[in-house]
Amino acid sequence: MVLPFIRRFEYEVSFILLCGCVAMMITGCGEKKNTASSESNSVSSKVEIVRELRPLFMDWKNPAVAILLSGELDGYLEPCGCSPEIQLGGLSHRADLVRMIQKDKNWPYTAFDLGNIVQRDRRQDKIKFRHILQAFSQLNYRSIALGTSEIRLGADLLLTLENLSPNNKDVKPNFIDANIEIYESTDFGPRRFQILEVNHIKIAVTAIVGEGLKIELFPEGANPAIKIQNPFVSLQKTVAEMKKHQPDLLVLLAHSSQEETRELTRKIADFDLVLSADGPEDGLPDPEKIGKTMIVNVGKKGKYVGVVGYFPDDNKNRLRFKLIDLDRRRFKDHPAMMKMMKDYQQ
Amino acid sequence: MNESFNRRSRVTQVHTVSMLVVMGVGITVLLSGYGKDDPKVRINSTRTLKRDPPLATGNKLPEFYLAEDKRKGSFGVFTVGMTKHVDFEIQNKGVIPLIIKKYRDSCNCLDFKFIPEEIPPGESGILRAIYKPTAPRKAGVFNLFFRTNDPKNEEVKLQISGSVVPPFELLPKERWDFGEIDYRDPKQRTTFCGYVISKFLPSFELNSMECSSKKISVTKTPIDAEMKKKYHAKSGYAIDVKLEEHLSVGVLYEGVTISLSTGDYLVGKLIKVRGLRLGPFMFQAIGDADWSPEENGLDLGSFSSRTGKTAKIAVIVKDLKDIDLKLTNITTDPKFLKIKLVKVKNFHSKTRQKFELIFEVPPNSPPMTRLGKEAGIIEVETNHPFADRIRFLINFVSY
Repeated sequence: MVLPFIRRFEYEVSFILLCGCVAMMITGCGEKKNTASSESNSVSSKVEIVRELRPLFMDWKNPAVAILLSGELDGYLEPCGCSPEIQLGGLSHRADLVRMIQKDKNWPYTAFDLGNIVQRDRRQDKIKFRHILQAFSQLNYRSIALGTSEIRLGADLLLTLENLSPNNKDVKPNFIDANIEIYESTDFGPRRFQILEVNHIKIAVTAIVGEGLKIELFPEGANPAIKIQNPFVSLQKTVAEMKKHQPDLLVLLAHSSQEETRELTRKIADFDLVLSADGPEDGLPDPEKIGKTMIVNVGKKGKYVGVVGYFPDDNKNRLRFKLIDLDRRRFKDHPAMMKMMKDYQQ
Repeated sequence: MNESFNRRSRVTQVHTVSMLVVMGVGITVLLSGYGKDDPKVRINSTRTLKRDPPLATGNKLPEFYLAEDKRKGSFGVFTVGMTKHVDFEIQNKGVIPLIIKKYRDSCNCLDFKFIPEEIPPGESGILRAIYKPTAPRKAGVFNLFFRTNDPKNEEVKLQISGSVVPPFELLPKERWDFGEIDYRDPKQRTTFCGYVISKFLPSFELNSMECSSKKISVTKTPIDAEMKKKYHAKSGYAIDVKLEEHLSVGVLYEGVTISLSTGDYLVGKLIKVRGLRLGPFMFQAIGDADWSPEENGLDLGSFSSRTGKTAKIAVIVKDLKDIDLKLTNITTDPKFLKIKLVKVKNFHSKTRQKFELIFEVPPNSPPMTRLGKEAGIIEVETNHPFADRIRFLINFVSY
C-alpha cells in the first residue's frame, strides 16, 4: 500500500524529504558552529567562573559564633532586578546562605537586622511586613532594630505584634530599641536591649534611631505616639545595664546616619560591633574601625548581607567581617521562602 | 492533455504547501535556539559560555592598555534627570584591532559607548560610561566589568563613583504626621513645620500651595543658613501647616499640593498631612483583632453562631488620675452583644492607664449578618470627666 502511494506522489515525497534535510542541516551546522567557538574559549570561561565565585569564608576556621547582619530590605522579597546579568538578593538566597552556615559549615549562628523591612506604610506594605517577619523567624533572627519605616507603620500596627512586647520571651525575633517610647510607657516595648547566648558566647545587643532622622518622620511640633529620645543619653543607660550581664560581645544596631553613628561610637566606646545604616546601596566590604569598635555597613535592598565571625582565641583578629553578595549563581532558592512569597502573593 | 495539466497543477499546489510547512518548521527550530548553548552560568555545569568578543589567537594579538590609576572615575553629585558621562582612554599596543565589550555592571543603569568600536593597532579609543538616573542613589561605587579579545587582559574592571540626589526633598519624607491633637492641653500647638529642600539646586521657586480643605492653611518662608547647614541643603523653604481650631474628633487626613520650579522644569508635589484628635482614649487591637480606628469599630468576621466569637482591644486612657474607668450604662444592638472592661494592673505609665475591652457574641446567639450600615452597635456611658459616652460599631456574620 505504501509503495503505490510513493510511486504516485514520488515528486512530492522527494521534495518534502529534500526540504527536511535542508532544515536539519541548518540547525545542525548552527550547533556545530557554537560548539567550535565555545571550545576555543571554554578554558578561559571556566577560569572566570571559578574566579568570580570563590568559596566563601576560605580563611575562617570554625568561628565560635557566626552572626548574620542585614538591614534596609525596603520590601525586596526577591532580587532587586537592578542588573539583568546578575540578580542579587532575595530572601530565598539569604535562606540558602543561612542553610550553608548552619548545615554545611555547622557553625553556631544568630542573626540581627537593622530595620526598614518595608519602605512605605500602605496596606500592602503592612501585609508584606508581617510576612517578612515570619520569614525572619524561620531564619532564626533574634533581634531587629526599629527603623524609620517601622515607626511610620504606626503604633496601631506595632502594638499588635508579639515581637514588640518586652515580656514575651518565646517569640522570635524581638524588636529592640534603646531610645524609642510608645505612649510614654516602657511597658509596650520595644525592649531596650537583648541578651542571648550562642555556643556559650553571651551577646548583648541594642539599637537606636538617630536623632537626625526625626525630621524625616515628624514635622516640628508634632506629638506622635512614638517618641524618639536622645540616643546618646538612652545608650549610656542601656550600656550600663547590658554590662551588668558581662557579655562577651556588645553589639549596636544603629539606624542613623554614618556621621551620627561615628559620633556615638566615639562617645560610647564599649561596643565591639556596630551595624550602621545610611551607607551605599551595595554595602561596604571593608569595615571601619574606631578604637576597638568595628563598624560595618551591608547596603540596601537585601542585595548583600554581612557575616561576622567571632574568634575569641585570636587576639589580633577577634572579629572578622565578610560582605556577601546573594548571587543566584551561588545560592539556590529555598522552599520555605518560596512558600512564604507565594502566600504573600495570594 | 487536460488530465495531465490538472495533475501538474495539483502537484504544484502540493509542492508549494509542503515546502512552506517544512521551511516553517525549520525556521522555527532555528530561531528557538535549539542546539545553541545556554547562556546561564552554573558553577557545576559542564556547559561552556559563548564568549563575546572571542579571544584572539595566534602570533598577532591586540594589547589592551590602561594604567591602574586611571581605572577609576567619578560622576560626582548630581540629580535625577541629568546625564553624566565618564571617559576612559584606552590604548591598543598590539598589532591587530582591539575589541572591548561590556560584560556586566553592578546596576542596569549605565550605557556604554566604544569610540571607535574596534581600536586599530597603535591607536587610542574612548570607553564612555553614560549615566542618566531615573531615581536617587546614595553615594557608592559602580563596578564595571569588560571583556576584551586580548588574551592577557581577558577581563578588565573599572570603577566609577557617584551620588544621585533627588532635585527636591520633603522633610518629613512621607506623610506629615502631627500625632495627637488635644485642644484641652494649653501647650497644644496648632502649627507644625516641615520643609521642602534641595541638596543640589542653589535656588528654586515655590510657586503655589493649595490645601485640600479649609481644615488646614499653609505659609512658606525661605530657610536661612542655619537650617541649610542642619539639613545639608543648598536651598529650601519652611512650610508651616496650621490647623483649624476645634477640629472634630477623629483622624484628620488632608493634603497640600505644592508647585516647584527651577529654570529648567516644573514639579508638583503632594504633602500628605495626618493628625489625630482623640478624646482621652486610644484603642489598640490585641492579637488578630480587626480594629478600625477610623470607624471606632471591630470586625469579628464570619463564625458559627453555635460557638460565638470573642475579641479584645486595649484602651489607653488619659486624664483619669486616681480613679478607675468604669462603664456605667451599656446598650447594645442586637441585645445579645456583650462588652466587658478589665483593668491591666501591672501597666506602668506616667500619664495613662490601660484596660482591656472584651467584646463577645455569645455561643448559641441567633445567626445574623450585621455589616456596614447595619453593623451592630454598642454604646456605653463612662465615668470619665472628658468622655462620658463611647460608641462602637461591631461588624459580624454569624451563621
